[in-house]
Amino acid sequence: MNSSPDLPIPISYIAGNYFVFSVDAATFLRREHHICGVLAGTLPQVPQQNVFTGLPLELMPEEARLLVEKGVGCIVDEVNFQKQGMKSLMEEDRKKYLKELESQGLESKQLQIRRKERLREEYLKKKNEKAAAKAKKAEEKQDTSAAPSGEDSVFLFDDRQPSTSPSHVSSRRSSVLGASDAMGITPAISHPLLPQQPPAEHHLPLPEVPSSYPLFAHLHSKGYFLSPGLRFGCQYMAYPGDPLRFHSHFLAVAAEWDEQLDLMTIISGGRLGTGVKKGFLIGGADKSRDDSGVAGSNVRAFSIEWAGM
Amino acid sequence: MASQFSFNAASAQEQQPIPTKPRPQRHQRPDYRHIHRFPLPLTVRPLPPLIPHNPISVISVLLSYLTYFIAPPHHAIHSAYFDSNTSSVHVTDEKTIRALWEMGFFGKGSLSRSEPTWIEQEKKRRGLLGGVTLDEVTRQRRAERRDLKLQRARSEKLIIEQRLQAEAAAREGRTIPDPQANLSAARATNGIATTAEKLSLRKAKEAKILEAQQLAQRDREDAGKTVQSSTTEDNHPTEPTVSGPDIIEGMTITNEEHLQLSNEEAFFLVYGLGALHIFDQDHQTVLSPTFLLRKLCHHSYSPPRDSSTDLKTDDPFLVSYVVYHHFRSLGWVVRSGVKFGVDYLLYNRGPVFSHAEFAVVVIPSYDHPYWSETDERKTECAAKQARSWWWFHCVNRVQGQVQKTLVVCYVEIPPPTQDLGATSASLDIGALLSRYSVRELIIRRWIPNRSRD
Repeated sequence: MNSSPDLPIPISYIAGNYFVFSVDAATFLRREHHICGVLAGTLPQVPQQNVFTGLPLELMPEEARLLVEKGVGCIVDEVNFQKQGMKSLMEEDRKKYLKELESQGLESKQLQIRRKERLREEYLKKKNEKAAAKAKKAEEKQDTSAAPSGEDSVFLFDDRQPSTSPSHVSSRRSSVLGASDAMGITPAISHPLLPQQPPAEHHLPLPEVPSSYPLFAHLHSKGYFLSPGLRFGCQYMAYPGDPLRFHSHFLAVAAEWDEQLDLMTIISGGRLGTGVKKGFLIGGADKSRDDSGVAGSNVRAFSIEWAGM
Repeated sequence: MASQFSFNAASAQEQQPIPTKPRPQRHQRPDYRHIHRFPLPLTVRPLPPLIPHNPISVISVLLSYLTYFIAPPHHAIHSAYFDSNTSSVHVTDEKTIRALWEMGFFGKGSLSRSEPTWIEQEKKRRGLLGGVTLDEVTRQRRAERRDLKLQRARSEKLIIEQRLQAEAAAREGRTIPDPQANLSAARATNGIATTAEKLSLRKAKEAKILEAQQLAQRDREDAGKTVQSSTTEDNHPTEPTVSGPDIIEGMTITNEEHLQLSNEEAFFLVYGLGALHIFDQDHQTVLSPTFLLRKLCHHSYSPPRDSSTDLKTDDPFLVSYVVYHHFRSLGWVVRSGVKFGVDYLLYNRGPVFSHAEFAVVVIPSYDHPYWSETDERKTECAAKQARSWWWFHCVNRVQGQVQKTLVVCYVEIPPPTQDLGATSASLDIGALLSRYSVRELIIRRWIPNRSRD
């Protein structure tokens, strides 16, 4: 949980989107750098729903840019990296990797079998106890009716049970497990096969960001967690802490410093925000002010609340 | 009909002597159906029915024609003036204000929320009138809601503090050998906090009612020397309460409110209905519809354009007037939708009868090949049409909150013509308007998971 991955974290650039594929990196970014992203993958175990999603973690261009600027991440042209990496792979390495995968598959298969056995064992134990209790009851009944002949059969049944002890079975079967029995493992990252840190030739320059980036950087520097807010009618949702623990405080919208705004935007934004107990925040970077090289340092933001609601 | 009426009256008389419990005085709603019986400020005189085989009906029709011809019925034309400082049309005549509001719900009181009721509010505030004005009801409701919100915000802040404390305690508790106790304590405080949050709203309401009751009781015990309404006392502690009738007597209140017509409304009354004369600021010259159209178009920019500039087919006023005229001629009562962040609200009969059903957003559309002839024109038109997705979601969500259906109204902009020029003398308004076309598109937020019954 608290493991921190090697920096900089490779952020894969695929078809115009930024992804993080490693669990460690995703948790690290969320924990240490307040970058949540959006889980974009489906869960392989429950593919027919989209309420719960899994890896990869998709990052907004703003988030990717911020990480690169901080030196925490680097953008990797994933397609080229994968292609060239695969091409230059030694046959020996490939075989080794496959073998490793197979052994991993076997291991997890064994784990699975063991778990099954344990469950079965528990079930049988319970069943036995039940049967014993039943037998006891029957015995008592028979005692009252003075017929002791049933005892033998009960003991016989009990005796036979240990002979089918599951431990024997499992040990026998696990030893028989062959390569064909191995579970198919789909690795989420290509780390052992390809190097963890892609060579510099695959690195890409800073991501292109929308003009709202200064506001994003500003709010992020103030400790807010930001998530995309399109479905809530804004550009970013600003949470005071981890979104799992807090409701968002602001619906943030960026504007250019001297951009002409339709006042209707402010009305509807303010109304929307106040209707859901949030502030409508509008902000932009003052280009004339010195931004001292740090994005977001020359941003001013205003929060608007509808008073008569 | 008449017999039923008298029967009702008799039964009412019979019931009167029976002593009943004194009911809380209820605000009597005015008879809106009678007040607003005319949908537009026009008088319509239908001819008597013509029955071909009955000569008397023919005579009566002829007779009515004759009377109209000899003594043409007086057609009331109201007057207003254009105020170029506010770029809007003002109506100050009391009668005209009532007429325009009651027949078609035109305009807005400059000191009221919509219906010009400032004078009544003022009288009420000074204790001259009984009853409650609508604005007061709204204000009271808002004050109550604000109090509730403050209380809720306070309790929420408390919850967050508690939670942070609990978490801090839990974090420290990691080093202490027994973290379980801390954890359970944190959970306990959390539980209290959430229930407190749920309860806070109801509690606040209950407390409010209790307070009001206590106040009322105290008032009664004071033997009613001074009559004060507890609500005004609650909400406006800074306002001096008028305690006796002697101060008020002899004071006359002049109505300081005027009716403000939006430019579209004014032009519709002038051009569409012919029921209004708009004077220039000197109150002397009546503006002709053509001149008025040019003036309003120039004033639809901020700051207003010089009067020597040419009209454009996509002047904001022209675009919004086309939509206004369109929906008015379909029978809707169209009012400004600025409070919900849209251009227009459509009422079925009027704001006093029911809530608005539709919220209209106007977007110009440049489909005519003229607009895509040059690249320069293309980029200009694209900029005028462009709306961001988050803006759209925002507006849509606001309409969802207030139970309105969002109508996106595209106005097809025609290419410019010669007679729009500032120097051209003749401008056929009808021909100009007929070149526009309007497309409506209803948009509703629909989520498959939640919209399943």
